[in-house]
Amino acid sequence: MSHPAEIIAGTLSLAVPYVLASLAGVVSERSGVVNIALEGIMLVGAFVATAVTFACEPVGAEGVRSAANAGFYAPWIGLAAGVAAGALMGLLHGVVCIKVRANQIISGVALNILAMGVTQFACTLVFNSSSNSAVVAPMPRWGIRPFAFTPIAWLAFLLVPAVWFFLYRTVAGLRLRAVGEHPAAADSLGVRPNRTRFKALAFSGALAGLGGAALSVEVSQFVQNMTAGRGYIALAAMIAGKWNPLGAAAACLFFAASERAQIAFQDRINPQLAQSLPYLLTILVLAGFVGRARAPEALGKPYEASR
Amino acid sequence: MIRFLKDALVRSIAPALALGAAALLGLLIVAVVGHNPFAVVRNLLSAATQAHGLRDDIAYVLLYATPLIFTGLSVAVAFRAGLFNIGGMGQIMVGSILCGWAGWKLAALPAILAIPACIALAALGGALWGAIAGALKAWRGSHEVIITIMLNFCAIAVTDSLANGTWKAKEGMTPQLPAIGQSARLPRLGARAADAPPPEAGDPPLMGIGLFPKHVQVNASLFLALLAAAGMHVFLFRTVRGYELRAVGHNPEAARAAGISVKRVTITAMAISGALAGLAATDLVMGTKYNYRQDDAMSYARAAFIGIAVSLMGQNHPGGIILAALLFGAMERMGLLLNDVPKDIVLILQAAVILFVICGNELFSRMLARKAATT
Repeated sequence: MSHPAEIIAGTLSLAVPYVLASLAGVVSERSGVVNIALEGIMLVGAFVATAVTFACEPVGAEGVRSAANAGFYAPWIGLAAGVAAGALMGLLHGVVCIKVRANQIISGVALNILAMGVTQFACTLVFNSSSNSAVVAPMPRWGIRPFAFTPIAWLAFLLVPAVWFFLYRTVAGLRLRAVGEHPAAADSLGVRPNRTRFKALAFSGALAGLGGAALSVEVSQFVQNMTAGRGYIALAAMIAGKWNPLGAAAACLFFAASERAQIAFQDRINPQLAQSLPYLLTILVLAGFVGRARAPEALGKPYEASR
Repeated sequence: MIRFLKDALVRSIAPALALGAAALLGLLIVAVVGHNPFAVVRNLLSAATQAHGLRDDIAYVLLYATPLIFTGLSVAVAFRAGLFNIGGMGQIMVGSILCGWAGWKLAALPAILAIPACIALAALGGALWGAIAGALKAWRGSHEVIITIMLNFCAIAVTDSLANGTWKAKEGMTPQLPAIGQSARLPRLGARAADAPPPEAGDPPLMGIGLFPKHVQVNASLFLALLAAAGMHVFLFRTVRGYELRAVGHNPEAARAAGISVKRVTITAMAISGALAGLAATDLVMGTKYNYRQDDAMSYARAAFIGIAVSLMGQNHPGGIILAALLFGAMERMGLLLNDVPKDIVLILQAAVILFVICGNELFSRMLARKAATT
């Protein structure tokens, strides 16, 4: 049995990718765009962060690149690239389902398949293996053990209240929510729904890319399909948290705690049962047995501007 | 007949353009990563047509297309009812484990009983998993997309606990069920070569169709898939229930006003969709692997997701779905023959096809609407 502080720290660190991705889901869906692509955006963020870190590692005296003599800046450039790649994926989703007005769910599924193909294709080209990358320069850990987290984790903890503040206490956040509830009404007040949705998708993509980077930075390596459904679980957390950043983060903490419990009690409880708890909870929430979740009114409906 | 052909032609414009665009994208990617696209295509063609190559290629394409016909039909029947079944993976897993269980437990039965029982359980397992999502949608208004995604994860947990627990095969470390009995195995289409050694007891049964080589696992489930496509065509376009399903898909409010029970249609559509996905087990368990393996989860997921692409490419039409499944089967085969660039380019192109088809359909229908408005 580990020390309680270690369990709390472990849960928090497991929650980071979920929290970032579910914030991404909240931002996108509050603006009225379904974002099933979170899974794929995370995967691309994870890969790009690793590959760019690798590319930025300085070449050592013996002519080989290695994590050991890496400059401290390489992982930071990688992180920025991962976030940017996520934002670009978000914009691609926007082109398909805002500009062309194609089905948002199908676009998301296609982007997930695309992300799997692109990351494996590029991983083979860069690292000569489709299954995993080389180990790259690590990010520093900030804080006192066991609460020593990557900077991404600290950023994620700050982003939860920040995104809440943005959505509920700023004009831009009000506009974002307005186009998700009633785009025509927002349009008549001079808020351009499609432009707002594009910005929301770029922001959402950046957050999901950061969430993916959190996964690969944690182990300083990219592994094939390393998101393993976390994007979908983040969507579930977003629904369980009723499309609210604080609620979504709380649901993510619960999911992470159940994941941590599986590791802790492997031999005492049925691991498969514990594993399916988050999914069963989401089904119960969606079915209205545990509180009623209300989706944004215009969610999934493309908006055709009259001008 | 002329109208049917014209209709088919109009429907195939967007998929054909999407295919062309994806092919161009593929050549572009090949060029960007530093290869001569024409040399890559030439190498691919020579790999495909070397000695016995073409005969093998056809058999492999049919092998890869078989599960895609099932998953494509599964997605399409839900689409026709206005539902998006993204839970093919879970439905295949539940269908497969029940199918594998039946084949293992009923090994003593003769083939004429064992094979129908296994097929029925594969369909039943998938139907059950699909119907849960349908029922929650009909009675509680829960969105089927998130529910089916969650049911995918639940299916992994349930099958994992069975394949690791009470149903686990004694031999081997990996979670899997014992092999299904000889009588539950679907025969391969191929014929034995004239100079081959005499068959042994463990050899798979063969149908002896000379066109197919023995070593390719393409099997009788292909006929079942074609039968399912024909059945779906009759159901959708020649029966009242099928008409009701399509009516709900077009306009649920109008269907309700016309006295159709939208709830009943939603549940049955999801059950049929799940059953079709579950039937993919006939190929995966009864035709190729001969047992249920938990480690195949990724290939189940892939069959389910590519099924979405197949359904879109086939424009939700049974005939189109067969053609689209053959096309995607050919893409899989192409990936295995590629030597110059990583084979994952196939996944990129399959995703690109989906994006191009949905954009093409949308832009094309808008163009038609504009034309209709101006004339």
